[in-house]
Amino acid sequence: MTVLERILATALAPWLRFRSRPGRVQAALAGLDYAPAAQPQLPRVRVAAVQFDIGLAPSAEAFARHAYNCARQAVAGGAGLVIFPEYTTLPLLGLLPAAQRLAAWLDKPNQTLEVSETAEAYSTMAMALRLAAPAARRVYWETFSTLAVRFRVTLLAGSAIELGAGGRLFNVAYLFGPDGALLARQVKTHLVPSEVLMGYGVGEEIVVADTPAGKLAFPVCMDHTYFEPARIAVLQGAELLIDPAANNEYYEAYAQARGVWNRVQEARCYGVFCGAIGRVAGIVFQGRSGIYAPLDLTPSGDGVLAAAAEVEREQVVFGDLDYEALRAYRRRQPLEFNRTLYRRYLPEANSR
Amino acid sequence: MAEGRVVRVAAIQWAAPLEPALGTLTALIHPPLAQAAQAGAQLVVFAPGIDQALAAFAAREAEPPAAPEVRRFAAEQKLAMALSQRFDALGRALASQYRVVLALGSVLVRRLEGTVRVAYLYGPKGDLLGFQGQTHRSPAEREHDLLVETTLSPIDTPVGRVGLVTGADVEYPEVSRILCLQGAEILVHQGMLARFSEALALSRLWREVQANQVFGVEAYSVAEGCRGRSAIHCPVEMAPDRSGWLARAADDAQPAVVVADLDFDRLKQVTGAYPLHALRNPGLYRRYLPVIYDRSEDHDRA
Repeated sequence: MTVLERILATALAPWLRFRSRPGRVQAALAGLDYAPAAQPQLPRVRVAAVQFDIGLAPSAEAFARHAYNCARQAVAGGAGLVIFPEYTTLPLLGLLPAAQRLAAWLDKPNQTLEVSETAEAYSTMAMALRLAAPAARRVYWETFSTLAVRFRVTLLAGSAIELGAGGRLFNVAYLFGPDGALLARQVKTHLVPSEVLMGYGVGEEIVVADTPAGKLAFPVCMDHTYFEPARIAVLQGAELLIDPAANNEYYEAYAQARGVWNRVQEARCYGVFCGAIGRVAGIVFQGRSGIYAPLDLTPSGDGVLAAAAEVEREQVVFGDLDYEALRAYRRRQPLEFNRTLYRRYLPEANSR
Repeated sequence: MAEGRVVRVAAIQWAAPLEPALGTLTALIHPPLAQAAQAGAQLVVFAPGIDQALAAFAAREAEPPAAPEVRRFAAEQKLAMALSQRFDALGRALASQYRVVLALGSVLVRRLEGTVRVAYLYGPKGDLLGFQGQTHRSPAEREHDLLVETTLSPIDTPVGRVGLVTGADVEYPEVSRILCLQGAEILVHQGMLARFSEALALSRLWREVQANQVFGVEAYSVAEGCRGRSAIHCPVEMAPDRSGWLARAADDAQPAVVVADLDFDRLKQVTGAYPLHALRNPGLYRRYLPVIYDRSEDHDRA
């Protein structure tokens, strides 16, 4: 943390505390309609992926209302599990003074940056994230734990940007139960290059949560490009693999297929891709949220139970899962691992 | 390997005749190989089935069961007993005649302890460059009590380091990961499937190529009852249409010779911009792997 950043953090702290007071969120979420969610009748559950716009929010109240509207739509559609994407707290950079003006200034058409400018841009972005992180997380937590308890729904709140020891950034997803309590926390374990440049840290644990909506794991975004987190999760009992994602690129079907859709096929579980969309400071986020299953468990054989109609607009995607059907499929097509092979090679491979 | 390296590769999608005369078989093998060699291919991956056709000579009396995999298995069992030497001689002869690195197989090989499926790589001088036994079994192979191999290494060839992803190994990402962490640059898979789809195409070698940022050559049999669309794979970012395919067979039913150039400098640019392997998390893996596999009820047969 630089001297400038320390000065800014000290100067902005009262302002950000004021703008992120839990009372603001509670006021924004008061007096609204909260029809309770349908309770999952396991082994069946309806899940909803909220393709959420992560453009800057002008206030904590606006963010909370935005999240409420999406959650309400998901619950009204019968979902017993509601999922938000990665970087759900990015809109709360809007709590910083002049954030909207700065973002508009950065949002130049056809902008290209030199390498040195890119490094500087990431450094500036990392500083902004660190400055806003505590306030953003406060608003995020208050918003999603409140929505979970009021709708009485299991809610994966996507991920928040957090400050760890020494001011290091972490990308952390939170899962709330229908009582609003924290069920599980997953730190992103594989970074994208921009996160490396911004000095993010990684987690070294894959969490599996036993929830009213089933046993699930939610490694974050890039984690699903690697087979290891999915394999670890499923071997720990996960039957649903959730990918809260925020792909800062224009949508490409094949590029997206490299993630959780492929992990579902190899690990033999259900999957959800929940993508953020929107535009922040000239960075475009797109994705086609979807609910996935092994090829043999989908009507058209394409591994997709449901998918968003568009890749750049908000919408809620619903899918019905039947864990007993999954278990029957696994019994019919069991995997057979070669532990001798793995014991021989994986330790050395993973020491590199 | 030198900078500026471009390797031309070919995948031969082939329909093995069920019970050919020897002359017929030879006539069917040579034209696609000649086509690939004339196109300048340095590495040629031949679809499975040559072994099956060879086995037919020794198994004419066998009644072919309905399912292709079972039929293949029965035929290969006989081959394993009687024709492995003929297969090897054929591989050496074809590779040296066309001066290519030739991937052939897989074929069942009988050992003292049992039978294992093996894929072979022959060099342009007719030498055996290496082979790889299958490390995971399909459900049908489990029923027939095939053995699995417990060693796994890429093979150095004149065109680069090749990883043979043999048979059911393509369904287990551990295999390609182990091969690529040992330096495999080109993954090779030869498949024989009863059904095929575009979704399935993304769930086999395409997936492993994307996960490891290498090249891949995949050749399928289109013999009676078999489907598959052979392809040359690359990371999505390298394909002109961003699909991850440099070239594909026109369909999944007809014989074809698929040719493409593997540009290793371009691959280096892609991996440099987005270094998947450098961004791995060894601390996470060491915590769980390989111990986590002990939680599985599925056991190995090594």
